[in-house]
Amino acid sequence: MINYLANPQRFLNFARFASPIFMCLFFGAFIFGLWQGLIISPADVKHGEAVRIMYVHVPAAYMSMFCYMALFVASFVSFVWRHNLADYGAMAFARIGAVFTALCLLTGSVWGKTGWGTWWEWDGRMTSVLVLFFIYLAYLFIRQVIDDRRKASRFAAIFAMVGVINIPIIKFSVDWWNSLHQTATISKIGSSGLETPMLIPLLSIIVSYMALFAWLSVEQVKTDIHTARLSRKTEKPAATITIEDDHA
Amino acid sequence: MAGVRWNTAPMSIAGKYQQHGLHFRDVSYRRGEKLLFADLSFSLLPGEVYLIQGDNGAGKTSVLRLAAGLTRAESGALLYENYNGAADAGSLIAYQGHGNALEPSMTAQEDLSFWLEIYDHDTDPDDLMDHVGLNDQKHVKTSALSAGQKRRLAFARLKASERPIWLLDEPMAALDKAGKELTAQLINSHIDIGGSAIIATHSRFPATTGKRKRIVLETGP
Amino acid sequence: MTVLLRRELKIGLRNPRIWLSGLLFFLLFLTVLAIGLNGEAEKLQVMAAPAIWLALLFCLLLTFENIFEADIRSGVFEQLHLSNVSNIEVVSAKIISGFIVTTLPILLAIPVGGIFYQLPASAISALMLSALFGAPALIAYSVFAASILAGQRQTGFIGILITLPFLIPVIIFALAGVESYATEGIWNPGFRALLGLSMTALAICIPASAAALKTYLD
Repeated sequence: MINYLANPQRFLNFARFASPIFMCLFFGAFIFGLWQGLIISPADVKHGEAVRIMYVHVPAAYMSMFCYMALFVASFVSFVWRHNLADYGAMAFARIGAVFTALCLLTGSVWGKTGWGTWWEWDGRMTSVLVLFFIYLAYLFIRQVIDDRRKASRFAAIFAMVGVINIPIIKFSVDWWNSLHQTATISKIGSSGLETPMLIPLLSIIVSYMALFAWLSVEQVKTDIHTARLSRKTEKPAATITIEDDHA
Repeated sequence: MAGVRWNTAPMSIAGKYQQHGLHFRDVSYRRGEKLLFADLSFSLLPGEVYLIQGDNGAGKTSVLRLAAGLTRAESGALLYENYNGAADAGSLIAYQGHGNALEPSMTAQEDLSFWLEIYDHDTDPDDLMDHVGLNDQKHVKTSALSAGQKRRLAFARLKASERPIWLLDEPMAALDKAGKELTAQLINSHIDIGGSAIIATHSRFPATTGKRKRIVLETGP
Repeated sequence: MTVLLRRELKIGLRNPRIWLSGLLFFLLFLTVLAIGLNGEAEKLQVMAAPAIWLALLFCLLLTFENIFEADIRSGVFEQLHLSNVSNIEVVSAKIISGFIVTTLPILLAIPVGGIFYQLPASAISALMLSALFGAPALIAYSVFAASILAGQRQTGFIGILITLPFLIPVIIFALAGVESYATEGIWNPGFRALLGLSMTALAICIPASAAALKTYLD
């Protein structure tokens, strides 16, 4: 399938029907999930009503990692096979990933306020997500700073690949550091198995986020293809070449 | 006699130069997003000099960098050959870019000796310095050399590389009359022993020996 | 490779500002911070390890950030490439020479920093060991940033932005190792992790930097 879509024209054909499907799936699952999460599901014994933040927070945390994996795969493909579409994809995944990561941090902070009583706590998970956010920003910065787009995409791909090796190391070190210095004060939901009424909204929001991810990525790649075509069309002709004997 | 090395002694420079070729086949080049030139084809053979002329930004330097294998063509192929048949750029090309590639804190002799070690050639650096007329500046730091002397030292490195194809980017820039004459002389002595050269230049170029052609790149209005 | 290394060392010895500027930055950073802490012994001792580590980190980031610049501008880098010298060798030579020329002087200045912060001798040796074990990782990532930003004009910040996320584990393990040095000795878990991290960083960054330098030429 990836091979099939690697051709820009086929990708555009695919996008024509896939994009609306992803969009509908996103809105459907999101509204359903919110309705389930905010109205149907019960309040938690320990966290009370605040537990409902979880339904946006946990899927966002999941997406922050998922997007990075997607970014890694796209970077790898674009680096090794010099494929433009993979590169457009990488850029889209990085932007979307950065937004999900920011969302995860924001909702985490709000949840922390209800749980810990502070907006920020140097908890292991939150710290790892924060570092991941910085990695996304660094990636986007590299693409922004380097003028030559083709070079920028290769540099950024190398960075993304180095990042993927580092993320588990960072996660491990932060957890280790966290266990040395402080004990988590908020009980982790999910470790003991969730009740079905909580699982339904959680899963549907995850589905909706994935659909949003797919929808936005397809749209972004579509735009990039059109932009590239446009710039080819308006580009100045190449230099004319004359080869002749020189009698100086 | 394939595979038999009947000459085990190190080959003389002239021997190395005898047969070589660089062929551009329908080469197109894109810098960033911009297509600079398309379908450039020519063949450089021993004793030939190609001048590359044209407007600023038309891609003169890019032709040299492509020939050197320093950058990648958008499409088309570059073929290199030596007395053995197909060869790689590394064994044929000597490139002189805008910079002279000198380390300011080294003396002229140290700098040249470093490159000889990198090339793994046991040529005497003093002979090379004599050849380019730098006998009196051997122990002068390269940062203290004049523009012309720096260029001569760079030519000594070209010579030291013992590669038959010289790619020169504006070799006359920033040189006085005597410097230009010496440069032309050095290029001629390279051509005379069977070497070849591609020279990017935006002005007229003084006479050289060898068969001379020019490639003009003109950007449209 | 040895030829390259010899050249780098020679250049380093002839240009004292290369290592002097790093050394001065290191001491100046610590001085300013100590003044900021009002020179109170209690505060100084608490802050000593993180302060010295931050000084070391920024010092190495800033010294290594432009490590390829001179060779790229003069054309030496292209000439090496054309002489069939692999980028792996170029990067390795830069890392080793950088360790000897710029990093060792800073490591040797750590006792001075320790005295500034009124540390006992054992704490100073713990810090020196942590710096020795962690420096390869710091250098590896700084060189990686330098290779990604090779040939770019305004880099300043971005080098730091690229490297810092990856250096968080280094700081964590180094400071943990320093803390448990007194009780658990030199092979405490922090130092072991730090050494492992340094090896990993070299294994990742040398090929990654070589690839980035290849991209720069393309």
